[in-house]
Amino acid sequence: MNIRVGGCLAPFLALGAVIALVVFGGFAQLPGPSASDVGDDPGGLDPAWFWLPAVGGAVIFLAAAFLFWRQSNPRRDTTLEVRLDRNRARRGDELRATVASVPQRAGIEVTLACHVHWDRRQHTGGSDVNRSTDQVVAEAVAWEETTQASPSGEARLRLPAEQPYSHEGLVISFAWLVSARTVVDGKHGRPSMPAAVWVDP
Amino acid sequence: MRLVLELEGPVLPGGELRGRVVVAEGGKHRLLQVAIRISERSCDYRENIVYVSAILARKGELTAADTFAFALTVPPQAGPPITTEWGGLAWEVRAWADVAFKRDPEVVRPLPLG
Repeated sequence: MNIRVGGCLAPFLALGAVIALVVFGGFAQLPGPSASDVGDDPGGLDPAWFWLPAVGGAVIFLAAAFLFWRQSNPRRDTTLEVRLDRNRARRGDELRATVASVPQRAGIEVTLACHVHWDRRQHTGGSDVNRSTDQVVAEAVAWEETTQASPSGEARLRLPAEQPYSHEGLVISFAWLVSARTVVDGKHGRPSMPAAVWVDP
Repeated sequence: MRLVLELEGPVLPGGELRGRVVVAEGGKHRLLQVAIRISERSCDYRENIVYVSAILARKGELTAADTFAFALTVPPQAGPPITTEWGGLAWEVRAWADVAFKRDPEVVRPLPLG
């Protein structure tokens, strides 16, 4: 499906979610038939049978709306592609990055960043009885530097000698990534998919 | 029991680390070992991963001044310590004795990388 069409569909699908909720939820709210003369059995369908399609339909419509919206508004700029002259280097080395598919009249910024992932405890639950501790992975940028690329889309990046080297561990990991983004009239675009480089000590 | 760890160096990653474990105070033990490990820590967790190890002595009595020489191959990916506000890692050499029903005596030194 065309990406633009998908993006336009999203608000209609969200509206469909609201309609599903209102229509079926409305049926559920309707007063049931009065108790029969024979016994206490009120007869008719339980309102829960209306809430089920109401909530289920709304969830399906909202999920589809989100998928179409995300398809037309990706987190990353998929039109830009970063290529590195090598995928393994040492601290202190210089890397050459080339950005392919640079749009006309757009400046390009190339960012070299060291991402750190580490395990930490996360407490959930309010009361002491329900309180539990989960092990979660947190992420932060330990170091980053942004360089202006040449009009042809080339940039030279120096791997800092005093910053962490690449490490994939059990408790803490360090990863080096290079990404690019456009700058048009001072406005920054979304970052591209990053290119990874393994940095040796 | 008390141990002393003496290391020659510095040594390059991938090279051979030579050293000695000297018994400063003797006692009975089940196993005397030495290892090169990486010690990772975050704000809440700590993990030690042994890369290479050697058994220096099995079950018996260690007496003061007993010396055990060893040679271990340093992992090629070994590097200097990393310290950040979120945690870090360090390559270490650890010598320890397995002692029954007592706390194992150990000595830990930074891996002397060149």
